[in-house]
Amino acid sequence: MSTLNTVKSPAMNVNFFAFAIMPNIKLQSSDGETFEIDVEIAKCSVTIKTMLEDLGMDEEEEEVVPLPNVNSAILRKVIQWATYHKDDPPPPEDDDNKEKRTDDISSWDADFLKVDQGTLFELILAANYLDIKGLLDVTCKTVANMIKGKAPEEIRKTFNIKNDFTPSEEEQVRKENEWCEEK
Amino acid sequence: MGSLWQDYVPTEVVSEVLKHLPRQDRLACAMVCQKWKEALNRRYLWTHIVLCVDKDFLEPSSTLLVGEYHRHIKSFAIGWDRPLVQNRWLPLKVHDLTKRVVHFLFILCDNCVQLTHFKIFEWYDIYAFKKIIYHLSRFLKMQSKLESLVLRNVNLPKKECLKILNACLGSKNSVTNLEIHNNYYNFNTAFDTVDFVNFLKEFIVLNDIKIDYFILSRPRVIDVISENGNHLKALEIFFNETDLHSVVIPARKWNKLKKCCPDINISIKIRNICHHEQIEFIFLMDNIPLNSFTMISSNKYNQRISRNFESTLRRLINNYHKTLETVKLDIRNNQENLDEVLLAIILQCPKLKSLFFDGMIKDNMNLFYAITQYKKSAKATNSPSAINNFAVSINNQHTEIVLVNFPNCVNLIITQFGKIGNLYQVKIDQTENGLAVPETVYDVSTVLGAENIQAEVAVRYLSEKLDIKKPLASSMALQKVVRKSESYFGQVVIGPPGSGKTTYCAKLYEFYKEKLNRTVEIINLDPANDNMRYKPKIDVMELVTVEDVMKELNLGPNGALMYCMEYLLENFDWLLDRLAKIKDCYLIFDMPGQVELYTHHTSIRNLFGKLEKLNYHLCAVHLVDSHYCSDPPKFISTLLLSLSTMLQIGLPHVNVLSKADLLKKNEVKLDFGLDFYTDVLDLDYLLELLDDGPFTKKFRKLNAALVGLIQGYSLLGFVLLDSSSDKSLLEVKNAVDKANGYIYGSGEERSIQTLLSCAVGARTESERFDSDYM
Repeated sequence: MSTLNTVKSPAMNVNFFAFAIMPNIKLQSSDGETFEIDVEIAKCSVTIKTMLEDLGMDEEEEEVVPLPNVNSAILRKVIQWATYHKDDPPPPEDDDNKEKRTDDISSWDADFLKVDQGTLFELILAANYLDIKGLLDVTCKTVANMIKGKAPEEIRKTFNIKNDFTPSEEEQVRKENEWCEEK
Repeated sequence: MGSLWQDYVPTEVVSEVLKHLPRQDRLACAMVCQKWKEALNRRYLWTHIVLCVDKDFLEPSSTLLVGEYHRHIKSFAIGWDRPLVQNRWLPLKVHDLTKRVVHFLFILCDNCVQLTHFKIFEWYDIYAFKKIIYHLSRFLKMQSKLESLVLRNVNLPKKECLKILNACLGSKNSVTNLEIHNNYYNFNTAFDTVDFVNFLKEFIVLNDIKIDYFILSRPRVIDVISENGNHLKALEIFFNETDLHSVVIPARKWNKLKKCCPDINISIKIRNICHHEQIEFIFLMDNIPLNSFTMISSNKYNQRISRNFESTLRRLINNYHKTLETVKLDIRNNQENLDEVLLAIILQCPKLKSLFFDGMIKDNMNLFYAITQYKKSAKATNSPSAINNFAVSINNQHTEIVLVNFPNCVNLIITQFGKIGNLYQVKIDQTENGLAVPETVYDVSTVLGAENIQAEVAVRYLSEKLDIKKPLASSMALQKVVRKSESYFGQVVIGPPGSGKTTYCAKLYEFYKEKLNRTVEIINLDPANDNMRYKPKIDVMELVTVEDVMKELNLGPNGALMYCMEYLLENFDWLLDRLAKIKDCYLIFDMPGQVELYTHHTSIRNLFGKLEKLNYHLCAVHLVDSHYCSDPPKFISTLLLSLSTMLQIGLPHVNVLSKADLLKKNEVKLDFGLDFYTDVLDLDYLLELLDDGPFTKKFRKLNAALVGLIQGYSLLGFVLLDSSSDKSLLEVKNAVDKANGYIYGSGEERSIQTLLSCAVGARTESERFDSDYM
C-alpha cells in the first residue's frame, strides 16, 4: 500500500476526493444562455435537486436543465448567490416561537441585493420557483424591511399598487380600527 | 402598466414576505390591496402566536388580526416582555390594558379556538392582572387537545397557579409535554399542595417532562411521576440558584422511577449558577441515573463570580460516570484549567457519546490524543458510539475529530471550521533490529497540500500514541488561512528648501546599500526635483510635474506644488501599484520642501496615514539647516516649525540639524554650546538673548509665550548630521531605526539585549562596534 490510490475505503473517497468526482451541470435560462456549474451548487435549489433525483442523472451525459421561468441576468445572480453560500450550513427550520427578525441580513447579501425593485422582484420569483430557501428568505426580508413601519398608503406608493378595495370595504376596516381605539 | 407587486406577483410570494413582518405591519399590509389581504390568509402565518402583554396590546393590530385569522392558531404563548412590570413603564393604565387582553381572550373563547400548544412565560403577578388569569383559565378550560403545556418563569400565588393548572385538566389525555421550570421558589408553594399532586396524577400520557428540581423534590411528586410513567421518555431537571430549599430525593425513589420508566432519559441542566458549592449537596448525590448533563454560564452573566467548575465536574464524573452519555459545557472557565477534567470525562465515562465543550483548553495536543484514543477503544469494543463524530470546542473554535477504522487502514480527520489543512499518509515499517520486539517506524508524508514539518510531527506523534497497526490517512485542517502580512520600513525625508534633503537621500542610499547591506530604494515624491543625484525607483514626476501644472493651470510654483500633492493623493493607487512591486526593501521618500505642506496642509498627512494603515512603518526625518542656530530668532522659528510639522504629520519623528560640519567649524561663534541646540535645553537663556536683541526686545511677551509653548510640549530634540561623514549618518540611522521600529521588526538579527538597550537608550555593543569601525 504505497500510494493513496490503493486505499479502498469508501468514506475516504467522499471526504477527500469529493471535489474530483463532482460533475458539472448545465442550466439553460429562458433566453437560451447556458451556465455550467457544480452540481453541488445547483442542488441548493430544491427544484433542481428533485428534478435530478427523479430523473436520475447520468454522470457521463451532458444534460441541460432548462429553466424556462428564469432569464439569464437573474440566473447569473442566483448562481452568484448560490456559489457564495455553497458552504453555508442548512438553514434552520422555521421556529415560529422566535421573534421574526429582518435585520440579520449579512453584509454580503445586503450588498448583493442593492438592486432595483424589478430585479429584486425577479430574484424573489426565481428563488420561489427554484425553491432556494435561503435566497427566498433574504430577498423577502429585504422587501419586508421596505414595508416596516409604513402606513398602507405609503406601502402602495412604494410598490406602485392601486387601492382596489371598494369604499364599503374600506369603511369596514376603518370602523374596526376606530372601534378598537375607543375601547 | 400593471404593478409588479399587485398584478404579477403570486400570492404565495407575498405571504413569504409577510412571514417576516410583525403583526403591526401585517395589519398595514392587509389594508394595501385585495391580493395582499388574501396573502395574509395562510395557515403558517398564524399557527404560532406569541403575545407580550406589555408590548403587543399597546396597539390594536394583534386583536384585529386574530379576530380575522383565529382559526389558524394552533400554538399560543402569552407573557411579558419586561416581567417585573411597574405601572409607570406602561403608557396605558392597568385597567385599560387588562380590558384589551380580556377582549382578546374573549375573541379566542367565542370562536372556540382549539390549541395544541400553550405557554405562559415571564409572568410575575403583581395582583393587578388577576382578571387576565381568570379569563385565561376560562379559555384553557375549553381546551381538550393540548399536547404541550409550558409554564416558564411563571410566578403566581398559590391559588392562581392551581387555577391555571386545573383549567388544563380538560386535555389530561392528550398532554404529552409538560414543562414547569425556572419559577421562583417563593411562589412555588403551590407545588407543595395535595392539589398539585392530584393534578399531576391526572396526566397519564406524559412522555417529556421538564421540571425544576425544587418541584421534583416536593412530597410525592416523583412518586406520582413514576406511577404514571409508562410513556415517559425524557425527564429534564432544571437547577436554579434558589434550590436551596429543596430536599434530597432518596435513592430508592430514583430506583423506582427507573424501574417504572425503563426507557427514561434523565438530564440535568444548570444555567447561570455562580455558587456551585451551594447546590452541590443536592444535585451531585450519586443516586440519580443521569444520562445527560448540561451546564451553561452565558456571556451576559457575571463571569467573575462563576467559579469552581472543576469541583462540580469532578463530582459529576465520580457520581455518574457509569451512566453519562452526553455532556454539554458552555462555560467561561477563564480562570480555571479544565483540560484534565475533560480528559477524565472522556476516559472515565464508558457510555459517553458526545462531549460538547465551549470554553478554554490549554493543551490541544494531549486532548487530541485522548480523544482519538477514546475513539479507538470505542471502536474496539464495538460500541455504537464509534460511529458518531466527535466535536469539541478548542479555544472557542469548533473542532471535529473523526477516527474511522477500516479493514485495511485507519482514517483520522481533525478539522476546524474555516481552516485549511493537508492530507497525510503514515506508513508503517517494521524494522528487524535483532530484538524480540521489532521497532515500529512511522513514516509520515504529505500527500496533499504544502509541507509543514510541525504538522507532520504532530501526525507522527498521534500515530505513535495510537499505536496503529495499519496505514493511516490523516487530514488535519488546523492552519489559519491568513495572508502573510508584510510590513515595510522606511523614512520620509522632509524639511524646508535648501536644507539638504536630496543630498541626504543620495548619501543615505549609498551608505545603506554599501556599508549596511540593506536593500534600499528611493522614492521621489517631489514633483519639482531637478537635481536628483540618485536614481529613484518611483518618481512622482512621471505622474505629474510642477512645471506642467504651472503652465496648464496658470498657478504659481507654490500653488502648483500644492495641486501636485493633492493630485498624488487622488491617484494614490498609482503610488500603491508601484510600491507593491517593491519587495523587502527599505524605502526612502524624498519629499518637496514647501513648508506649508507640513505645517497645515493635509494631503501629505493623509498620504502617509494611508500608507501607515497598509503596514508601512515610516519615520519622518525633518532636516533643518543648522545655520539657523546662529541666530536666536531663527532658532526659535525653526523650533516652531519642527514642532508644528511633528504634530501635523503624525509619524514617528526625528529632527535633524543638517550641515553640521559647518556648525562645528563655527561653534565658537555660537551663543551656546552645541548641546544646547540639539537637546533644546532651557530656553530661558535664549529668551534673555532675545530681550537684548535690538529688534526682538519689543516683543518680549510674544517671545516668552512662544518659548513657553515649545517648552510646554517639550517634544523637540535634534540629531546632528554631517552627510559627508559615515559616523554621523550611522547616528541618524540609529535614531531613525528606533523611531520606526525597524530594529524590532526587520529581518536583521538582533538579540533581546539590543532591544533592551534600545529601550533604555543605551548604545549597544554592535552600535559601538559599528561606530568604532567607521
